[in-house]
Amino acid sequence: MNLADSGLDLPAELRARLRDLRLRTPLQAPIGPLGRQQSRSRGQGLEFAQYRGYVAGDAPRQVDWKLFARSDRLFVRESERDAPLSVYLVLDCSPSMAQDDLANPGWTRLHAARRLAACVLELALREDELFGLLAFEPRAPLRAAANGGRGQRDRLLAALAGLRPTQAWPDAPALDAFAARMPPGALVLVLSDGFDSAAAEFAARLAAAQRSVAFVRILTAEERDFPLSGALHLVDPESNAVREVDGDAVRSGFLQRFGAARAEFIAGLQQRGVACVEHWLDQPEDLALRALFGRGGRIDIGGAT
Amino acid sequence: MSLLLPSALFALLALALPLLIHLQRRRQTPPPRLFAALAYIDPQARPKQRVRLRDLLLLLLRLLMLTVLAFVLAQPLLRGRAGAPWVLLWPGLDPEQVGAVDEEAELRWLAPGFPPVDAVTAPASAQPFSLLRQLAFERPAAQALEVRVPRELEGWDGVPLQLGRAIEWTVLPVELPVVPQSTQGLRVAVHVMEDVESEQRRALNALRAYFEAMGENARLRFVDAGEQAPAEGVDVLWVMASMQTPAAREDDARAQPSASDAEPQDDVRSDGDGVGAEPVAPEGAGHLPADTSADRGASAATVGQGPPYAAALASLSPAWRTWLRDGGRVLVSGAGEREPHAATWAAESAAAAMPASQDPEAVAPAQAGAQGRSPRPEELEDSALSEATPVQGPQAQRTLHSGQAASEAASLSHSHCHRPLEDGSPALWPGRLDPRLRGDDGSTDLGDDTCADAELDVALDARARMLWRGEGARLSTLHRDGAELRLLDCALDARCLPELLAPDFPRLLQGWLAPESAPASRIDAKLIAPTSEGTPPQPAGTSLRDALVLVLLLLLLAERWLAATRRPA
Repeated sequence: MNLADSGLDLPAELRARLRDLRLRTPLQAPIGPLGRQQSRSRGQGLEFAQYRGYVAGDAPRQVDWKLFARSDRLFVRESERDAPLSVYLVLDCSPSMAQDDLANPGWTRLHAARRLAACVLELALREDELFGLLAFEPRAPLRAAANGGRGQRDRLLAALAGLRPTQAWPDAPALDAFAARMPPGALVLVLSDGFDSAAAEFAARLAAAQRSVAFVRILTAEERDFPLSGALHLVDPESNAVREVDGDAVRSGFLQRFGAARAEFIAGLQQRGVACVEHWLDQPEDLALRALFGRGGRIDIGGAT
Repeated sequence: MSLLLPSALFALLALALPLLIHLQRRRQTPPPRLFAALAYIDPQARPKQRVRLRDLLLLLLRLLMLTVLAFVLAQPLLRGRAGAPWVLLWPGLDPEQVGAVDEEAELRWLAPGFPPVDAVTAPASAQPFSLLRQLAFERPAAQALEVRVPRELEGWDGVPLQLGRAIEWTVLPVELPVVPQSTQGLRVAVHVMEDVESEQRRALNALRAYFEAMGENARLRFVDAGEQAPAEGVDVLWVMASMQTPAAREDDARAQPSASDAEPQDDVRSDGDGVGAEPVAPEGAGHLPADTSADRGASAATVGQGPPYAAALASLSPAWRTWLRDGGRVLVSGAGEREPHAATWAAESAAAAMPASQDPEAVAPAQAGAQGRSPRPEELEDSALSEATPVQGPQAQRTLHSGQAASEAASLSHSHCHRPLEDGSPALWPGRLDPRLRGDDGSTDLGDDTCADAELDVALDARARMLWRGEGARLSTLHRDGAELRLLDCALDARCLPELLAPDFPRLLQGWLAPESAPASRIDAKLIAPTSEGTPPQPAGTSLRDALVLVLLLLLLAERWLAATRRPA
């Protein structure tokens, strides 16, 4: 599987647009006590944190000599240390991820999810973060511990390329076991279409467990505009239900219902502490990421739509 | 355009086939499509059954193909322009006399092929009425036809002219010119039999002198028929046979004058001898029907030597016989009885009396009784008259005939089956043979074929037809073996042929010798003007079948090409 087919090669234009994007912990409505959601070690850094007494072994550079001159005591100036961020990518591999657009056949939700994951991997590598992957393959769940470096990135890319949209989500205990391996404060990026309720439930439980969770709902352009017309033979990939409808007749009703459902979905996730954006298959991938990790650090719900 | 078979347009119903097939294919379900948000589609929505025509061009091509095929079956005709009106001239008309003709009209002859008047000056007039019907049927109905006819027409077949269309019938005040008679005189070869009386020779000489006096304009030119082959230019042969002496005839007639009256049911011999009445004025006898039963019986009784003209013909040289068989015409004067009728009756009775004819003992006396007699026309008339007398009833005559049947049939079949073998003459000239030789000279060698020929000859005699009937004589004609025989049952004798003394006898003789010409009957052209009833003319025009077949092939090619190159839906 080469990268071009699986959507893992990033076009030059997309790389250029990713240049000014930084991975940040998405800030949203706090669930727990304020200041508890971040875990930071103090040490060298740009932002001042506190003074502490000199102990043997501290580097003379860290001694605040001006304060020594005023107080004749040695204090070490500590600042916040920028701890490496663990970024976990959780990919939905359910059958509904195989859906594509009639206008761009072959570019499925899974392709878009891979490309989004590749973008995040690029950002994480650039910022020396740690990154891991959680996906569910038919044989066994694919789990890669957070690690850094190009080798980790390449391993993850290879693993992403082998994903197939065939496997449903595991049950809740298995998901909890996976969640326990993610360190608190880790950034978890869930790439899913949200049609399987297990994905949203997993994200909400992670958020409740002190992880920073972002949910990127990958939707097709047809689900936004419903351009289909004429006789349609529609198959639900999750339940294999079949409907024969006339496209023009059901368009307005579908758009109304599904629009309301989307808004409700986003609102429900945000209420449970999960940042949620929608990504459409016909959009550049950086739009959704920018909405998550934008400069202002605020998630503009619906702004990416 | 018109259709010869409009009912073939019912084939247009087949247009429903591609339409139905097309709609059936369209009703198939579209390819399935993944749609995860299926739950948000209105659960009450139903697929709309909408008639949608795709591949319209292909469908139209196929429909067009079927339409063209239906029209091919309907045999369309493209009516061309009606063409210039035709003015047809009755054959024999003079183109100068037909009056004015329109500028665009074509002047044609009513002749086979309808040739233009400019091309043919005088076409053969072959059945113009049939040609008229052909013309009316073949020409397009829209074409104006005019027929210009003389005031009187010849050769009408008696069927009204129902031509099924309007034909202008212009009767010109013109008479058809009478066909001029041939000015060339007939060349008559005269063969005088040896026993011809001097009276006949004198009459012949007088006739010869009469025509020779006319010089170049003579209608008849007499030459002597020699033993050699006839010279070129001989039109007719005249065989002059001898006449019977009146004394002998009267003796026979008066021998038993009362026997036939008193005992009509006498035996064969006495009847044959005695059926004669008193000589009666010829003018009374000449008007009796020739084929009455009594006439037959009397003539049959005198027969015993085959057809009476046989002797006359047998006296001819073989060269002349060959000439006759090649289509020659011969007048036999003094041919005796009205033999053909007697022979007919004899053939019938011979079939009925076959056992008698097989018996030589029964044949001999009848033959012996008949041999002594010769054909005498007067006796015929006499016996015919006697039949008219009220004394003899029909029953009596019938008995008399049946009694004579055996002897008559026996003698006739005998003489026909035993023709002379030595000169190789055909069956046309039966000769006489001694009946006693018949038993041991191997008549079976001749076989039944000879007898069959003889009977055929007798049957052919039935076709004799009377040409002329005078006061005491008659002229009949029949065709045998290619020859045209004219039999005058009287010699050149004023007693039975009073016309011989008339001044116009040469003309009469000329008519006897001249070839028969059909009587010209003319009818007023106004009486048989054609009507528009009857069968309408045939539809005329150019058949579009080939062109339509070509169009059909092109459509088929286009359809195949389009079907092969269209994108699968």
